[in-house]
Amino acid sequence: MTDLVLSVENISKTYKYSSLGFRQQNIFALDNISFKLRRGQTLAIVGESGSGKSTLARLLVGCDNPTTGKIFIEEQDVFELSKSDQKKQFKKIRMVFQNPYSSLNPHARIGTTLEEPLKINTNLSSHDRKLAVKHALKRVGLREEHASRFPHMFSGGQQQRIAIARALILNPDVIVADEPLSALDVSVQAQILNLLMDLQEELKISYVFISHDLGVVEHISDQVLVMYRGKLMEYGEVDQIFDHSKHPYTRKLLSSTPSYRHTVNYKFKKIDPEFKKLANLKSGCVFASRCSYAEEKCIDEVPKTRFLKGHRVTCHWPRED
Amino acid sequence: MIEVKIYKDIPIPGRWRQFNRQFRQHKGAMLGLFFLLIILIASVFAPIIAPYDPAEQFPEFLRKPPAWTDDGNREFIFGTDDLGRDVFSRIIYGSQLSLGLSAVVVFIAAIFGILLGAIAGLSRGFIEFSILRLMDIILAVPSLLLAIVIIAIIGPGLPNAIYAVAIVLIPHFVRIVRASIKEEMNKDYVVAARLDGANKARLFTHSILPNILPPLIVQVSLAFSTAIIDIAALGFLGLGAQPPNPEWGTILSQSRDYIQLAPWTVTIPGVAILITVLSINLVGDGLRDALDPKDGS
Amino acid sequence: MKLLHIENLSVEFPTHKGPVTVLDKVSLRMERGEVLGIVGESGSGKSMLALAIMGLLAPNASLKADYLSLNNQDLMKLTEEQRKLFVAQNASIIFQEPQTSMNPCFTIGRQLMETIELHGIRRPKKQKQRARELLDAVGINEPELRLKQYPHQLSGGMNQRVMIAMAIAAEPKLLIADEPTTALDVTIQSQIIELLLELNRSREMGLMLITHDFALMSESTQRVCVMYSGQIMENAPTESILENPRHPYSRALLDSIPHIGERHHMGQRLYSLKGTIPAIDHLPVGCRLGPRCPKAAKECVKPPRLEKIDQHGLVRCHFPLEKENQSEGSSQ
Repeated sequence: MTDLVLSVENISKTYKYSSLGFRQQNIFALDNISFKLRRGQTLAIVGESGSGKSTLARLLVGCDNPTTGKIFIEEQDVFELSKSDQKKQFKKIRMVFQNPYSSLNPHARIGTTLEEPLKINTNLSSHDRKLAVKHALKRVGLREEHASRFPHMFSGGQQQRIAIARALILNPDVIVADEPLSALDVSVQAQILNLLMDLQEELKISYVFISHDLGVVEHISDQVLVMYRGKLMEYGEVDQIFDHSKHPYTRKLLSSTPSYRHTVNYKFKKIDPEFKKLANLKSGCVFASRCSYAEEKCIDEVPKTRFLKGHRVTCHWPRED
Repeated sequence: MIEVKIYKDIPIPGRWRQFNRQFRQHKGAMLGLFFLLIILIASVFAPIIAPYDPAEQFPEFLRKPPAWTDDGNREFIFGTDDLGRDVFSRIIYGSQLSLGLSAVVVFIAAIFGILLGAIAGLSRGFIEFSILRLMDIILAVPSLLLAIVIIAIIGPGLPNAIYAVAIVLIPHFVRIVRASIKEEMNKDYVVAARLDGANKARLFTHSILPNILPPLIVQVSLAFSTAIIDIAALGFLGLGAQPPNPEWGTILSQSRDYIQLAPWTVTIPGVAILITVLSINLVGDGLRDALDPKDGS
Repeated sequence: MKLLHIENLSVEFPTHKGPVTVLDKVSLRMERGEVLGIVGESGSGKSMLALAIMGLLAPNASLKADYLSLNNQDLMKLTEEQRKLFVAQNASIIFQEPQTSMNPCFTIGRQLMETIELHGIRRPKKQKQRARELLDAVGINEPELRLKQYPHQLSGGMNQRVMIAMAIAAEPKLLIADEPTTALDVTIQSQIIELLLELNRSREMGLMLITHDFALMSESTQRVCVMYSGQIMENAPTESILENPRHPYSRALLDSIPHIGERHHMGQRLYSLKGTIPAIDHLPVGCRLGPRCPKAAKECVKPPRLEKIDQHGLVRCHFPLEKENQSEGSSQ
């Protein structure tokens, strides 16, 4: 047992895109992302739509292979393993989807759905499997008899509990949760968030928590990784990101969220439309066209990720307080 | 906090209950089901219901009109044909052939269709391409014409007619299964099952198949009515069931020569085919409406 | 002057198990130029309220109200046709998903000009002129280019701006925004809200902001109505609700959102209501929050009335929360 459960080094994912077979282009869905996740900790991944959050989630659970880069699960490089070992290793990372209803097979009883991963991946007896299912249901706050019901008989919050039980049943090290709250009602979100935190303290699971809600992120995470268009913008401890953000994009996100606007008080200049056009044409910093601190250098030169007092920032002009 | 018992659990109807309620609301489908059940009972209990053997001849009662006409005889409800056989008994025994053969045909077509559709849906590239193009070729020829061509190659007769009609019906199943698989493949629950470690075969049987059953059931009902018509048509053309067999299409073609002398011998099997096909289509319609995936969350 | 005055508005839908009441005797008032927030979760009837005001309910719905007046005109006394015309001139609505509210086959310009034509400008040249003005008013640059583009060529935020432009084409006195920013990214959200408030100030246009997000309310609205299961639970000035919610439900909504600067410690949890929102055709007896409420007692099986609390507003609860002195969750 090591402390470092998941570590990702420089993973990129490019999709080839061609119109009518001509002009093949590479689209960077993810570009050079690295992070480390320790046991029992939560890494939040923040970004707007199109930032590559979901692509990253798919790579982490082994649903897709990165174009380049390495993934270490418990300090074992998974891509050095044989196919079947690789599969086994990826079982230590499980996923919870955004929409609980669509992630459950509508024609299978809950018990069957929960038993499925055990049937495939372990050689437990039928009795032991049933026991494990009961245990998992109880753990997420449901009752034993729920196992014989169908997904549509549950409310959204309960469905998400079932999805979590399914992720738990193989005793994973890491759960990747892709916007697990955004399909739920406000009064139910807190229940699920509390459940996730209970499980973390009890079972020492690590989370990769993908979200756009900064309030929730601040509440649950130990580390935060901010992404924009597939690139890492800023990565650091939660205190660093929320109290001493250095990247203009992080600041923009914080000041756009109603509850943070008064506390952060960052000032933004208006962006010159001409400059915006120019920034869109040239391939410098991806954020240049929306950045109110951008200068010539930003549209000419791609910024490198640098280390600054507990942060990693991809910016030519990281802000100081 | 008090535990109050007046707050009851909300009963949520199961899928079967919902389906049942929806289906019952469809009046046409209920009517179709009623007729279909009558025909089904008639075919199953043919030896009990039919008054005579279908091949038994009554030389003294040639071309007797149905019982409700002035010249009719109460012993032969639908009259007799030119050989003095009881039309009613022949229709009843014929329903055995028509329904039974169609069921066999649909069964064969569905098995092969689902299998090929699953292979096409779960694979990519050459295999998918070749299956689909083969199906396109079959679909490009009118179904009856193709059945005739196949019979011309393998020779006439009842078993060959079954194969021919089954082959004609396969492409529809393949297309529906493949299209549904492609659609379901990207849904979260299939991705989740994949993450559970399920391989493609397990993914298909455990996750996808139960969820594409509704369109498949509708397709089965459509295929069933097509099969009845095609088998009757082949019988009529003399390529399917051969004469003394009381198959509806065969009865039609045999009595065609006497259409002016004994019109009932043509009309009654025709009406039998009409009612059967119509009621199957009505039931199919009702099934489609009731299985429509509007329910759920 | 009253902009909107609703007394006991109820909406019923027939189902195979008999009629279901989705809005139960809702009463509220809005002054001219006021910003009113309606907060509720899905199924609370907040969108139904908007549709009922706009006369956009499904044909099988039945609407009853003692009084429903817009801009001092009682809508219940008008015929169907008159009502349609009057509402179209005085109120507009924008929805959550801008992309789906627009016709993907026509250009922005054509759709915008069609709306303008409905409001009485006939000459194409003038229509175009007005379209440009409107796009300018909602902060879209290069209006000339945008007029020729199709909805899919614009971003979500841009489309929502176009929707707003269409909504204000008739210079309405009331703009209802039904979850206007839920489908948009955070940075775009704040821009859209700012735009709506801008328009509210500059045009003296009443704004009804419907959302599930209390944080969004906090800085934009003057009053807030909290809805649950088709009823108004609390109706009070924004500040007093935020500082001192009197209804357990409002309190739960506020406390279930993590507070700013609150990073989790071992064992620390958010406040949350148990259970889930009841289905509208299986409402609990008495108070609709009953089964989920931490303060529920015997009386709660009797339906509570919406009652006035001094220096606060209206609250529907048998046991309204007391005014607290220690500030909960160190809210600013």
